[in-house]
Amino acid sequence: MEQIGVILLAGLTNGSVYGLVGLSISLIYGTNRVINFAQGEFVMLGVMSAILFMVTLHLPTWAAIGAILIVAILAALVLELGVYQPLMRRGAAPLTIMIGTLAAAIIASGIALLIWGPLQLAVPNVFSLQALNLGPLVTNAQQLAIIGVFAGLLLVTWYLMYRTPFGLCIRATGVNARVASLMGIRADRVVRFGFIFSALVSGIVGILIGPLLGGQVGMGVTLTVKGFMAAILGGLGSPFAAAAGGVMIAVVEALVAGYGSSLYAEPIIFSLILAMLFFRPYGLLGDFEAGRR
Amino acid sequence: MNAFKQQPGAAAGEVMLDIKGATMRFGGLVAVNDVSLQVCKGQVYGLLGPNGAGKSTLFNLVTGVLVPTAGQIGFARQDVSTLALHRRSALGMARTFQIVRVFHGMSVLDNVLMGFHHTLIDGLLPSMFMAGRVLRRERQLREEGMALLAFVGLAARAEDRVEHLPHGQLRLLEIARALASGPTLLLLDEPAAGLNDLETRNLGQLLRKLNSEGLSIVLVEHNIDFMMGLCHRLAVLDHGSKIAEGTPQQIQVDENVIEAYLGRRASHA
Amino acid sequence: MKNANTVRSMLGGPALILLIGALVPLLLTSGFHLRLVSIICIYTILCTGFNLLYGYAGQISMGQQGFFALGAYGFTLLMATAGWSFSAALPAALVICAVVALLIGIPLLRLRSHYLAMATLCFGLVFAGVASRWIEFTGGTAGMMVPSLKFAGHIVSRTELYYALLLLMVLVLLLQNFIVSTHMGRALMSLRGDETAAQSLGVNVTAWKLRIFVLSAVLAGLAGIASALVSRQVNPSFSEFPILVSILTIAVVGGLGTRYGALLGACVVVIAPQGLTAFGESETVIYGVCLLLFLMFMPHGLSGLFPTLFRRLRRKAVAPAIGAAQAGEAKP
Repeated sequence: MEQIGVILLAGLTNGSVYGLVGLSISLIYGTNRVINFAQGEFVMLGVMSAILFMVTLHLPTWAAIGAILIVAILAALVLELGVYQPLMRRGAAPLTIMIGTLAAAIIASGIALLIWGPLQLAVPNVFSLQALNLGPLVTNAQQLAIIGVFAGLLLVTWYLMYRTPFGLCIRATGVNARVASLMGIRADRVVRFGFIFSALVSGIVGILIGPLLGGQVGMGVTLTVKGFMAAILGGLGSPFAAAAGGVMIAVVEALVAGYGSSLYAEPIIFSLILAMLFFRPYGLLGDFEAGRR
Repeated sequence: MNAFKQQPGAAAGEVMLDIKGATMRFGGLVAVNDVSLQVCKGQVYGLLGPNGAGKSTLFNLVTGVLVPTAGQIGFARQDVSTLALHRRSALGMARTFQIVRVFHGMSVLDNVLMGFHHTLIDGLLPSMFMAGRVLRRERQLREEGMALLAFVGLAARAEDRVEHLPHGQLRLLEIARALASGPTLLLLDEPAAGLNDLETRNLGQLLRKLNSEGLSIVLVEHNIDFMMGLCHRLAVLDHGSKIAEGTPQQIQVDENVIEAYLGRRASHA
Repeated sequence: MKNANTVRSMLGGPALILLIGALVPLLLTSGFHLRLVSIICIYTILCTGFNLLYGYAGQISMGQQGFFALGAYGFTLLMATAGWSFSAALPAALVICAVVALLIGIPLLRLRSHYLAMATLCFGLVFAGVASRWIEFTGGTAGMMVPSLKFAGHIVSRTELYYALLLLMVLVLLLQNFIVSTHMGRALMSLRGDETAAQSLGVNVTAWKLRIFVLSAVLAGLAGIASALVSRQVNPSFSEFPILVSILTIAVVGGLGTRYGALLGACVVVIAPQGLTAFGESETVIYGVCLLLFLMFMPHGLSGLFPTLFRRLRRKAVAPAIGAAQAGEAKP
């Protein structure tokens, strides 16, 4: 009984991370039909700049967090202005733009490699890592903070999308970008918002998971892939379905690792997703895309 | 103008396309409501109707882009209501699109050759085993494709990329591509849309020529004069239902039609 | 006349490549250089499959490195562990690649192609994870040694292996040329455009996507086997991210949707770093920058540099054809 609690808590923690990356990918996809391959690199930049600002430069925690978020915004702008916009202007297909974001991911991790080297680095924690007894469960403040931030960011995203006029623009662009721009919606602003918001989310994820995973310059790809798996499992069409998909993946992963062997976790999840796609091509929770071509 | 109607072959003949009670619902909206009609061999059959009358939906049911909610689409003596899109060209059905759909990045000739696809060896391995036959056939295809391009008047542009063709020529290219598949029934979705008067007249002549060689044609079109001059029979749709069917003369005096569609025009005339 | 041209253009390139390739070992002095040209052949086979899939058919797979490794591991396990003969292990490993590609492709190819991209990438990563952790079966991160080939008691030398690879590469290029210059190539190119139009012309879109995906997986597996034989080992790095980066860079730099882009790109990507050893760690950054710059400014890659020359040659060949066609047009 205690074991399952620990496993589920671990699943929920990882699920929050996967879910937030999935949410970010789905959010950008919703505004411009492009899969952002550099999403995990935003997390990596968050983790690595935490090391830069907190360890190397000894900034106070809150200043460091601010600086990390500024780095995330700058990275998002570089991606949007340096990769997305130029390719769009040349009329590139979404897949070509996706390869462009992959190139950006390669460049980002390559530069990070030159700065931080290939080794796994310890990342200072914002919240305490001290063991915390929560009834029968043993956890720590950092883990709880991740889950809390996940819930908080879901709420913020929901509020932005469904309770603000700008959210209406985002959703309209997601349904049909051309019609939306005919109705006077500035699609370019929506796209830019998508990049910046998702980079911020990923930066926050980076601050939180750094202490748990450690900082390694190659961590971005794995996170991108996990985020995308979350998005296709839940449904690429909706950020919330993608977030739910992330939790599902992480829970299955934790259960397989806890009761079987971690060797089987990834193959099992991959097979599950393939089987699911066969029966529900647009994700477990998503069918709003199905009718569209 | 209506010289074709007098042709004996056009009046009666074997039924090629047999639509029985076709219905298409999108949620609560009934786009096509219990429409039945028959197109006979050698006919030019027109579908008329105001915008949103369900012509394009009916057209999509016939061509297989949509599967009817109820009813049957019979073609070549079989029920094709649920037949996969890619199996229809082998039965002798060929179509053009309302908004021209050609394959970019390919030459004009290659686009026409796409029409022959269903007659060729399907699959990679079978083609490899019969490489010699594939290559010989390829040579014949090029000649046949060039002949078709010459027929629609595009031979000089055979090696150009399709991106460089003006709209009118793309329409002709689509027709040549459809003809390449050796159809018995040619379905044209607003073929005169976006064409100028001269191009429209040429298109009419081209279609008459094809029809005189025995090809049956179904047309969806807005241009009434074009339709009246070309079609042997017309059906008029309004709000998804068929409100009239007959020869152009019958349609022109049909009260339902005048009320629903020709009304304003008739009073002006 | 036109067809004679098609056949000539199908055979001409590969024949020239075979000729040049056959002379290369005579000009090289060191075993290291022989290894480099062998790697060029391997990358060309690998990227020809990717080019058919993405460059021609517009379906992207980011899991080619997974099939590359699957071929290599399958072959090595069958030969070294199960004790099969070379002539049995080679086709069996390719069949494994084909079957796995089918299993992955069937659910994915009905969807938009970025599903294929990401899911195949997952496949590659999952494969790398399993290969490195299933130690008793795969040898873990250390991998496995591949025994050197023997035919009738004679050990195949590196030079002989290179000639075999060269022949294999030329055959693959011939196959590619055969595909792209016939109705198969047209069917593939129709996939990247309008699927409804392709279907209404009788192209079984799903089947063709699956066919080309399987073919590209088999070619990747073949390249993997070749790589295992050349490097005499397999390890999880076969399925890791840098291989994918190389594939994409080769395909984009050489020119997507061009016949000899894969070879051209492979030559550049294999040879260029040799002169630029000073780059060291910044190699990935340079790959990334090249990828991005080519995507933006040279979408047809290095092959795009030659079209003026090409067009001039083609115009000469086409001019009489147009004349004949116009004469034909006047007749009816």
